[in-house]
Amino acid sequence: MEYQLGEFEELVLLTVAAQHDEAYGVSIFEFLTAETKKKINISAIHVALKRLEKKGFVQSREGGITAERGGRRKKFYIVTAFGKRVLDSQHSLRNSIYEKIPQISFSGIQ
Amino acid sequence: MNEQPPKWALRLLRFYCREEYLPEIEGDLYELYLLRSKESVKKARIFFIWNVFRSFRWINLKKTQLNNWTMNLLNNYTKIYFRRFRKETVHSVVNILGLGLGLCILFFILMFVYDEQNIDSYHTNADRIYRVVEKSTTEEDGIHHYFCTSNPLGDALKTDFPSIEETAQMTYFGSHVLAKGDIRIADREWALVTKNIFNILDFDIVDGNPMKDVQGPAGLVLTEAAAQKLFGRTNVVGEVVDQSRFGSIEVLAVMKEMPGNSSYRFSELYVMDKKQMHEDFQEFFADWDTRFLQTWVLMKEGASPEEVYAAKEPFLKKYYPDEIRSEHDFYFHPLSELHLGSTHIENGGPSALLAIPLSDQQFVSMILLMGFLVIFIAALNYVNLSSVQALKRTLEASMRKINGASNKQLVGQLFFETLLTVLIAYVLSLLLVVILFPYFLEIANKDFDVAFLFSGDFLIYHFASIFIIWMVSAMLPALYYSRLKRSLLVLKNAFSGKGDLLRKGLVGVQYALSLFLIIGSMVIYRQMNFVQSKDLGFDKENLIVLDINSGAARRNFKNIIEGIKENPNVINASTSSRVPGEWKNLPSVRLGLNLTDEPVEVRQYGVDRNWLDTYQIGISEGTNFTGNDQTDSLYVLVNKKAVEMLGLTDPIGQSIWVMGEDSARLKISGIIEDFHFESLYEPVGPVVLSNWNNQIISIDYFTIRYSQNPKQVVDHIEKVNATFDPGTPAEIHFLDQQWERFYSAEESRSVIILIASIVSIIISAFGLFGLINFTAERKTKEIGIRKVMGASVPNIINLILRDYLILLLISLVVAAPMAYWLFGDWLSDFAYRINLSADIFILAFVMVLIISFSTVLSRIFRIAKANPVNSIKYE
Repeated sequence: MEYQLGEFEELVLLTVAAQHDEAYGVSIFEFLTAETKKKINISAIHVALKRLEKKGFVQSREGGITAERGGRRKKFYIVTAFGKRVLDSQHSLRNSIYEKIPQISFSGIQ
Repeated sequence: MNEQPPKWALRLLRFYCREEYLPEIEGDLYELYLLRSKESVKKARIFFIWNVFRSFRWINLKKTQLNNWTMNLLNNYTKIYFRRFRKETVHSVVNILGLGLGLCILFFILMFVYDEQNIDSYHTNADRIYRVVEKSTTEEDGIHHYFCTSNPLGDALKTDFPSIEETAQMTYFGSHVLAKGDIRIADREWALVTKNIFNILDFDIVDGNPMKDVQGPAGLVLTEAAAQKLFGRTNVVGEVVDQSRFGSIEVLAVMKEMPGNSSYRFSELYVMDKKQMHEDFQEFFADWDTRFLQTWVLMKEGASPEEVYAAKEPFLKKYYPDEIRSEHDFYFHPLSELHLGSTHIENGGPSALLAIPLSDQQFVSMILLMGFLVIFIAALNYVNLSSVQALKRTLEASMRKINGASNKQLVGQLFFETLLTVLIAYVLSLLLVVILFPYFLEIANKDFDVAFLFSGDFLIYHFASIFIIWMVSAMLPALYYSRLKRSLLVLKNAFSGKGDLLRKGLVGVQYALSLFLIIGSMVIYRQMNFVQSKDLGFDKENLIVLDINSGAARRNFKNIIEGIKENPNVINASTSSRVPGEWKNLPSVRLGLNLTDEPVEVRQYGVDRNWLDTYQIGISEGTNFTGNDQTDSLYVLVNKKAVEMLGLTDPIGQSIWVMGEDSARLKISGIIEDFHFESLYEPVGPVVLSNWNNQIISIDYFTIRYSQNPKQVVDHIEKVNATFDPGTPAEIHFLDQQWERFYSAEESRSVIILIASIVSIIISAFGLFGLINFTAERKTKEIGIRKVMGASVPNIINLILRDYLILLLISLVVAAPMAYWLFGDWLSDFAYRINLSADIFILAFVMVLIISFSTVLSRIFRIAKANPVNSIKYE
């Protein structure tokens, strides 16, 4: 399976998967800010979402009109089957490499 | 409560953001704004604006939709253009190569001309700086213009004319030596200036103050490179140089190297304080009848030299006695004309060496005209080939018309296609320019960066060139094209012979221009060759010149000559006051049979008895100096020209007056052959040779003739020099290199012209190739049929080439008289020149013929050899 996935894109994709069917710009933004404790700009998330959608990792649908957005529709994202497989393979790749780390104690080294 | 984010930011977002992304982005930003405004409205607003700017990303931007009909049309034209490009590769490549080469040459020439026009323009006050030129009118000599002016003129101008802001003076003594400890440097790139010069010209001072008051007659300003050489570092302000023209001397300031477009490029400047100079010097500098200093003037802002000229008469009356006033009229010569407008002015005294040889406006205009001619030839190519192509495109044109295109649109298409071609050629030419740039610098003797091509000042020439070439190339075919459209030619998609005469006319013009250029460059090239190989009256090869720069060398000259002669590779060595091809001034004396006679002005050389042998100048009558200094001082030798001018019938043994500052009556002991001592622009002049110990002029040079191994000879000379004159480094030149200096500027010019004309021929040949390619294509069937009927290969080649050969002959008939007239005129400036013989014209013609026909011959041959079965099936 061939795919291209940047580090930040991976985080966004994970969030979309985690917030199943309820993920949209602001929710992803708040979730990631809280989790990573880093300053993230909303526009970076927008760009990542567009790219993910273009690559076929996520799909989007339009939500209803809500007052909290001044009458603007939300755009909800949901991870596709392909996106899920990409996440799985990323995960197992990381795990399998992680397993190969020898059991060395780092307690003495700081 | 203000719940709305800033309106303008929202509007900005809506302006740039793509429709389909807008609800999402705007919604998210708005939601975040609301969240934040619960804490602080102000912060939320700033954050919102920040987010709007951050969302300005390529992916979010509205893309301009090319959906209006003009864009569609252009899109279609572009597509068709590149399809044709692929189909008619030969045609397109020929077009683009021709235009690209032409543009490349044009850009080089424009850069060259631009640089020539802007030499010395870097001075801040360039438009207000003048050099004072003295105009001397005497009965014997006629009118002369001199850059050296009366010594006190500069100071008097400043005090007497309120419209003059500043004056300064500059002079030069030949070579000098600077020494610090064991390190010695000798060069000629220096000048002696008064400190006001720093108020007039721009010098990039990095450290120190050149205008500081000095203790002693002079202080020194060094370039960083010179400081590095002497001290090994550049922070040397206040340090003392042990030896110089003025003994030990303080370094006042350090300056950057002078820029590449400066006529002067000094390494060292002596800043003199005239008041602290030796008394004799002060007296000398106060003498109104001596020209030793160049005078620089800075006019006040808004003042013009006319204001000075208006009050000139009383000024001249005040300072010059009546009898010399006519020799000292002056005028202001602007700095901007130093490089291109100084050829009528002589130095008239010592003057600092120019880093860039003088040129003249005439040459610059000539080369500019050449650039235009070359690009014009390239444009004609395009015109010719596109009119041929138009014939093949009648079907396309008709289809467009049927679908509702107007004539205007068809012409528009042609303009658009031409623009595309010109732009591709432009890119190609830039590429060529960048690749060939180092060679250009070498040939043109210039020094600037390739970045200059893209500088703001120069870009305007890019646009102008592109636009003009575009218009010239598109105009004619467009006219032709639109005329074709009067009738619908759907059915007649055959090649028609229309416009053949026009096309051939244009080819004729092209070839006439090319021939003209090539004849011109051959004439110039030959003349330069002639000048350099002409018999100078002496043998300038294998001669080494050693300068005498000190009293020690002058006193020990006999020992030095003997010492140098010890080397087996040295054939002869001698000393003299000047050498032929002299780089300083050439002093002259007056000769007359009686003191009361009208004297003849002749150049004077003080020489020893070896001098004639060393230079291999022949004695036609009488005898050389004997070597006995007592008796030799009573004799002189003169050249044939001097004998002729004096009107002597029996010159040997005749006594004549030699009049310089002192006068003496001396006997002529011999007549020598004429020899050239200046460039061949000047005719041979009269010369008198005095013995080395004459009263008027002292010896300044050694000349050494060697047989082989110059390097070893130079080492030997240096060793001998160090023995007898330990304080001065040996300054050594090869005489033939000095002679080349006279012609180096011309040589680079003639090479530029030659290259431009060769390129013009190549471009013309491209055009011819395109045309013949077309003719061959058109005649494929005809040739097939002729072959079936029994025509031979030569028959067929003859069939295609005959017309063009006639055309070339007609071009020659047009171009030859023009070239003859114009270049004959140019040659008449030379005192010694080649004849414009027929062989130049024949050679040029044959050259053009070979270049042109060799490019097309293979194409024709292939067609002529082809199997007629295939050619008849063609179409």
